[in-house]
Amino acid sequence: MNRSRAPYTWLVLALTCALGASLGLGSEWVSPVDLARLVLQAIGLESVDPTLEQDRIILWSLRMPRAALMALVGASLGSSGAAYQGLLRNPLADPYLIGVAPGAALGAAIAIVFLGPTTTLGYMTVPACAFVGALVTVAVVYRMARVGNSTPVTTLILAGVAVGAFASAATSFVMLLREDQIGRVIYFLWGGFGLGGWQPVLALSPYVCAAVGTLILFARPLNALQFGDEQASQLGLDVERLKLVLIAAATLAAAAAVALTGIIGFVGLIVPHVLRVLAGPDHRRLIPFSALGGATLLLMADTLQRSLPILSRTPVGVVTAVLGAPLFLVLLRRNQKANW
Amino acid sequence: MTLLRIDSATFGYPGRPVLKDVTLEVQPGEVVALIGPNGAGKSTLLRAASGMLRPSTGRILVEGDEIASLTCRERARRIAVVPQAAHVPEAFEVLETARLGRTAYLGWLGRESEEDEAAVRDAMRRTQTQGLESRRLGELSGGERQLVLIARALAQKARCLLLDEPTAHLDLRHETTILKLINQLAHEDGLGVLIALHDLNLAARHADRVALLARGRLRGLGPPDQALTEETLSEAYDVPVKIFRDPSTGSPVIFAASR
Repeated sequence: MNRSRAPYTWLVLALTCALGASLGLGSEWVSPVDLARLVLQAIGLESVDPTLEQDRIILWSLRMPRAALMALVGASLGSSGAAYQGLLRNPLADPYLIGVAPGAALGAAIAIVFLGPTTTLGYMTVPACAFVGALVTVAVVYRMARVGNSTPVTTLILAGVAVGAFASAATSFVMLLREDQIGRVIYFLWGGFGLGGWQPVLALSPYVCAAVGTLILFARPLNALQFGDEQASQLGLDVERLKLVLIAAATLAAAAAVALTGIIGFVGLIVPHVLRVLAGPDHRRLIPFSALGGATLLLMADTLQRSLPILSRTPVGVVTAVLGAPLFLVLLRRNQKANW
Repeated sequence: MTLLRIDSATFGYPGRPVLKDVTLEVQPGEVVALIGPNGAGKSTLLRAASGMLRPSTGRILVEGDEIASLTCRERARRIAVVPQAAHVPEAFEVLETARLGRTAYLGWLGRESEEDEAAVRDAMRRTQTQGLESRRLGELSGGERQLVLIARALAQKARCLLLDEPTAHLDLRHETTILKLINQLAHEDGLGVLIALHDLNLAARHADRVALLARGRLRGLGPPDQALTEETLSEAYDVPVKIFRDPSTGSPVIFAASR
């Protein structure tokens, strides 16, 4: 297809700018020159300047891990959104469609209400339960959607919606058992526990790398799947195994992201869409592009949220929607070509 | 060796038997046309022959091996399919679509080798689709789109080719191009072709043998001038049928006689 490398260049450039802004902006301004010097000092190319000590701490213990976490989460949501849209051949699909979000919510609600996380260990069980809840829900959806030897796409979507509704109802039930804990459940779902430092980054990166790597490796078979299950099978693909691998990879990335930062809507829906319009339907490009684009969008939204005082209590998912939706609508109205 | 052997096979969708006790062989170098009224089971037979449906009794052998015992990759290297009224993603480009014909040959990194590229180029040359390479499928005419799907199937380098009504809704020029190509593929390249055709006259003119399906059973099998008789066709289609001879070629010309 259109093999131009230009989108790569633009996306990497945009990601670099977003990263720079994310590291420089916030309650304390760190100038780009200081940023560059601090990076050089960290890798030993410049001697340490004691006057930059405060900025150094801000950069390495606060902003860098935050930016890395946001970039990883954005990359998981973007690439798994692209994979789900391709797999389900549905422009409405996002990383949460077949059960990740309601499953994570249920897991988190159960942990908060029944385990009452007051200790640090108890606190850490919430992300773990959210992660497990998401995976179990998707597994149930996949199992329910199986008809004989195959898992038709439409059945998968319908089962996702039904099981999701059931999980949401169960979440409400669990939350209402302990009304004093409702706030904590909602707070978690909107933004995680705001865990700082490098630990969440370390916890998330293996999942993201494994998932994005797998999705890129299976991008070409995913292209064949755009012609429908039967044609893909006649071209020589084991379609059911392919679906299972893609669902597992996309779900793992999305579930890990949700467990750490809560449900951030819109990134996984809009980023693959926009890039499909700009760069075409080839998943070998669409998946890496969506990872880069998702990271960029989430970094931008997070920077905005941290820098503007009026947004201080607004979840980052709201900011991504405010940033992404107008851009999406402009593209939608300008582009009349088929994108699928 | 027999490329495709359907051996007293019975098929059905749950609760609805579609084909009963069908036996049919396709040899290298021949075009076998599958004809019969709507709903006779032509598409079902092709789906079964490509391994998409399992017979409830009987067997399907591809180059001597039971089709269910082959891996998806091995099956796609032996049988290529041009589906009927195929769903295509409109934004896909022609060259990428043809390249998907090599899916069964790629390693797990999915890079095309020189051999893969040569197979794709050859397939596009045979179908005269080279000029369309960077066009999107949604921009093509029905005939061009069909040629691209044939190119994709040829890129599979399978010895057995199945086509489901490849000329439906096409103009005369594309119809002729496609049927001439199919004849070349069988008679010059030695492929075995099983092709479902709606139009009896096309089948009579272009097939080496015809297989007449009606109400789920094989009602006739043989060279067109032997298998296509007024009695069998009248019975199969449930209308009176008249057959004349084309004075220039001697091939049968078939009409539904108005009473």
